[in-house]
Amino acid sequence: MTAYDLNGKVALVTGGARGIGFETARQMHLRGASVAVLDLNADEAREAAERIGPRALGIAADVTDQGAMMNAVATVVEKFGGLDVAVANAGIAQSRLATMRGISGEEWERVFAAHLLGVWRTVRAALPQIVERRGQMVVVSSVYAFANGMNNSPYAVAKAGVEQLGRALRVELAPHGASATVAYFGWVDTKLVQDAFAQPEAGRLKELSPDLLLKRITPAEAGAGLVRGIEERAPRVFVPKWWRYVSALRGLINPLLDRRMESDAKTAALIRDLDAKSVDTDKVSSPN
Amino acid sequence: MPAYDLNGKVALVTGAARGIGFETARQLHQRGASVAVVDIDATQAREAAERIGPRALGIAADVTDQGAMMNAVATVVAKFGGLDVAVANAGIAPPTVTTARKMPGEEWKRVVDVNLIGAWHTARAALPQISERGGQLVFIGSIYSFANGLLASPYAVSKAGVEALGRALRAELAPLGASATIAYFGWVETDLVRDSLDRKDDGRGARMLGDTLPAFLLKRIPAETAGRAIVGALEERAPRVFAPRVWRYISALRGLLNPVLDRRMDRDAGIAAIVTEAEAAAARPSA
Repeated sequence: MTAYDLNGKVALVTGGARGIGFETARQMHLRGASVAVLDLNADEAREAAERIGPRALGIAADVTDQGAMMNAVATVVEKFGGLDVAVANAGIAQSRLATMRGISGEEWERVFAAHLLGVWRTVRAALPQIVERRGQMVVVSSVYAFANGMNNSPYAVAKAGVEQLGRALRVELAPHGASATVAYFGWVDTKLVQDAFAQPEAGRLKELSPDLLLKRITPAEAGAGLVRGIEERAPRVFVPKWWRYVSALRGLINPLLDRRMESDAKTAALIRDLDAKSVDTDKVSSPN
Repeated sequence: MPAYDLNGKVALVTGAARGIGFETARQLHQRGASVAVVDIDATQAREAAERIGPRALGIAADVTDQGAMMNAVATVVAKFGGLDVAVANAGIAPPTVTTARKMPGEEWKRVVDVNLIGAWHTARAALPQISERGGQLVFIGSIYSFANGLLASPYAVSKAGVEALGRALRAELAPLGASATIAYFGWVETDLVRDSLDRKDDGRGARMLGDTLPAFLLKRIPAETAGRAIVGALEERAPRVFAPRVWRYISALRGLLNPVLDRRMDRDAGIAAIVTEAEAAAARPSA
């Protein structure tokens, strides 16, 4: 028996039609949970739920729409009798590798809102049930919560915010016997990330990073890490695991890494090219 | 001579009618800079500029309005010929000291809009000038960029975001000879701190901090000291500045300390009692 048994519980996963979200939903279902698969796309949500099996329900909902998220939770409660675990995983999969000077203001705010406000709206919709049932709120952050967000700033800004929301929430939920978990993933091998790595600029970004940091994991590994974290009511989940040590040392190494980045000629050349680039070309995805 | 001489430069400070913003504008002016005092309140912006003296211009603008910030920068350029330094200082605290669960959704989002999106709007409006002139952007982080944000979650969320924004921008500006700085403050004697800790909700904020932090970390500094820290960092093009300075060491150890401190907070009966009290108070219609 684990500290928190998922058997018989009801779980909801946003962005659940593909990638990490789908794998998390599928693996919670394997542990005996009923799962609601939320996705922006109604067909994909339904099809993903069918692939998972019985006790799985596809729901179309936009995480940036508070009313839609409230309705989604109401639907889950009506169908399964309550909600125990909510995983705020959704985000915009595609964003451009661009400097703040090169990106349009609308694009920056759209990526930021999808990641940070999307998590916030999921939290708000789910919290009444989570508190009542001593459940769990999982927020998906990223190693970008502490890595330098150069050329990917709205994503890094949002993920740093998601981490702070999850930490505060965990302390605020403790008196209720409920909890929150922050999940940090490095590069996950989804189709979108594969496309991203095939990109010329991404290739150059790769040259700037040590191979270890670029090791890709599968969505199944990410989902497995998350489900284990839920079973342990862990405050933090890192996949790959060694990011835990990078996070622990962040306050010491970030000032040094940031400084190195500022004086690196290859980095400067990449930034100059991105600055010069039209904001409409070359879509590149972000790590999760 | 400092590495970056402020004499003859043009600076813009948001939220500059009072507190840290006003002190920063005043001290930049003392170093010989022309200053634009941007505030949401037109009268206060004008009066603050008058108190600072000649070469000071009051401008009314709301940082949540990108167009207004673009216009503010255009006004500065028309009046002073350019813009070298922008300090994205405007910020608010949540009006209620309570949990993410009990805080009205509009209040939560408003804090993020002003503190984080406002900083982004200021940066975006100022970037063309800053890039062209090898200038500087200053962001106001906080110890809440890394401390646990319980009962103040939108503030902590926004300040962590501002830190990420400032770090990324510093890297992106380096090839242009421009730079960005993050200023981290603890408790500063401003209306923002006095309102949220002492005046509101029976001083619940101050009591909570008294329960969680040792006395030496609760020391408050005057706004003048905070302004001096910003001006000093500008003169050195420093990546970061902390006031009080002790927070630099806590920031350096954040990755090691936070999991331990967070865990202690999860299990602390005194904190649980304050969280419960805050939620009960927020549930009362008059609170």
